[in-house]
Amino acid sequence: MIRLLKIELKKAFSFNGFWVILGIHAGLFILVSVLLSNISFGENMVLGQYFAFGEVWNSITWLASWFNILLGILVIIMIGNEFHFRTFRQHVIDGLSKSNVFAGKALLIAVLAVYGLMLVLLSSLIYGSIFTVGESFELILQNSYFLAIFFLQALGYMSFAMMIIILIRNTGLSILAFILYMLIVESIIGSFFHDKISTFFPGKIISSLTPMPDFIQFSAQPQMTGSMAGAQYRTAPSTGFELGMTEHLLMAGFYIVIFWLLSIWIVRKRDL
Amino acid sequence: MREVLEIQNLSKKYGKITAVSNLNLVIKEGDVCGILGPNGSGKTTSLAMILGIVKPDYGNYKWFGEFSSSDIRKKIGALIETPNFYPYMSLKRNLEIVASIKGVDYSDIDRVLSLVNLSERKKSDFSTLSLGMKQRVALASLLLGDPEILVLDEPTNGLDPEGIAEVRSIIKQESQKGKTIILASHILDEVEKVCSHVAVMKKGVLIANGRVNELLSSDDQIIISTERISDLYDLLSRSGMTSKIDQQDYELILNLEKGYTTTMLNEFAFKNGHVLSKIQVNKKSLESQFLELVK
Repeated sequence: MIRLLKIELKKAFSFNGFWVILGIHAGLFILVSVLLSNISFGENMVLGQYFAFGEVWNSITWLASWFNILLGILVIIMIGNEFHFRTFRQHVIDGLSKSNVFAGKALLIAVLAVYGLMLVLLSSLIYGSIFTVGESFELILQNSYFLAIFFLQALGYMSFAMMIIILIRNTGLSILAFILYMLIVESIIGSFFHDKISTFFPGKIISSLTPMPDFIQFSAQPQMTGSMAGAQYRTAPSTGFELGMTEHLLMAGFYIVIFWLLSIWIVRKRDL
Repeated sequence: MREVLEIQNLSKKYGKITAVSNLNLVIKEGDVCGILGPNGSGKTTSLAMILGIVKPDYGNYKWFGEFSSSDIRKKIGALIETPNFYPYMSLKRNLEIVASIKGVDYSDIDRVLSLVNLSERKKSDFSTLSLGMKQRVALASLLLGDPEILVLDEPTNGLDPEGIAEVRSIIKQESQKGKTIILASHILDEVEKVCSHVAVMKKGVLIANGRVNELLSSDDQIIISTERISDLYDLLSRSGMTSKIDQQDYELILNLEKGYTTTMLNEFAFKNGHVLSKIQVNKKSLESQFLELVK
């Protein structure tokens, strides 16, 4: 496993596109979070308060979840390169098994998810330190479980992306399919079904793992008040159908396992 | 000699097209086996199957008496079709990845790069190399770890005459070390010069297989002449020594049956009162033999 990880990292670190996309990912995330934390709607509604400990984990993970799509695109490009340059094929000739080939990419996804996690962790600690006043520092760890949820979500996005590129084998088409599915297609398909069914669609399950923080709900629906963090965990408030946190996490885990199993099945079944 | 590769009834179809049909072949240690065939004859598909990148529909193959595994493939250096490397990486980095996969020490990279005269370019990106150089990198990569078997598919594709000579020289050097080499090519001269054995494929079917010199000598055309040519014609026609005999003026043009030599033919004629005034053996080139086989 360590050998496979070293090989994957060597490939990734030598690829300029890897650094460019990670740079865009981190840059956009930092830019948006800085802007958002400095917005205020009068004296009573300063968004910075949602970046204080207690709330920051939810706010930051929700914000970071929007950029997971970039990590998915990076996975598509990295795996697409292997098909384009026929290096998957050469690796098997040189002595990797098809399972090793898949495991290498699964490890890359895990590394990228850890990178996302670290970015969120550091950002949360920095914002928390800046916006927390008084004794609230005791709340540092409160709601930090959102980190684990974010990690699962990042894995979900990237695993789905991996399945798409392994299925389609063309980078451009796969990126298009990934973005269209996550942003448009699933919503269209979902509109034909009752919420009780569409809530369980993979895109919805994964994208709504990190719940919308209070300040977004507050600005969208001023009548809604009360803290979301730690009190309730909702899938998607707009659907009217709610899943408990455990069920939601289990469903996300289930989909990730399905994406991985389908990916490895395709790799094993197809000629290279 | 132990069997290195045993192929049994290997078959592959792509839709309605049969790429390889019931291929049976045994390659022994130290053989340099050329796989000949026109484009689309199934050479590359056959190699791709024995290297685990294409699944056979039917049949199986064994390397060293065992069914294929990734560990066995590490003992094989193989180049199928084009060199496959990361264009944005240096030669050294590309070869480090191959070395990691094969479990070979990185120190071997300098040795193989010097074998293919690319030591000075080891820090260059793969994308900056010429086609011939890329082919040589592929050769360097398959020589990493000094594998027991080399499998090469059209290794001189895109090379200039000097490059072709270099590749042939490397193949000869490796075969002299006792390595088993499987070489698919449509360049007959290449196979004739470097191979000890040859397998000829046509439309996915193996149509001839054996030692190169046997395959060529089996169809040597012999021209003889003597004083009473018609008598000798009758005699030889009844003798069972010839597979084909024809009289043209004062000469007989014939092919000997397997197992008979020109010396035996001369002795037979002499014992029957004929002194041959001419014995000419027209050796067939692999090219003419191949063209006859695949027509």
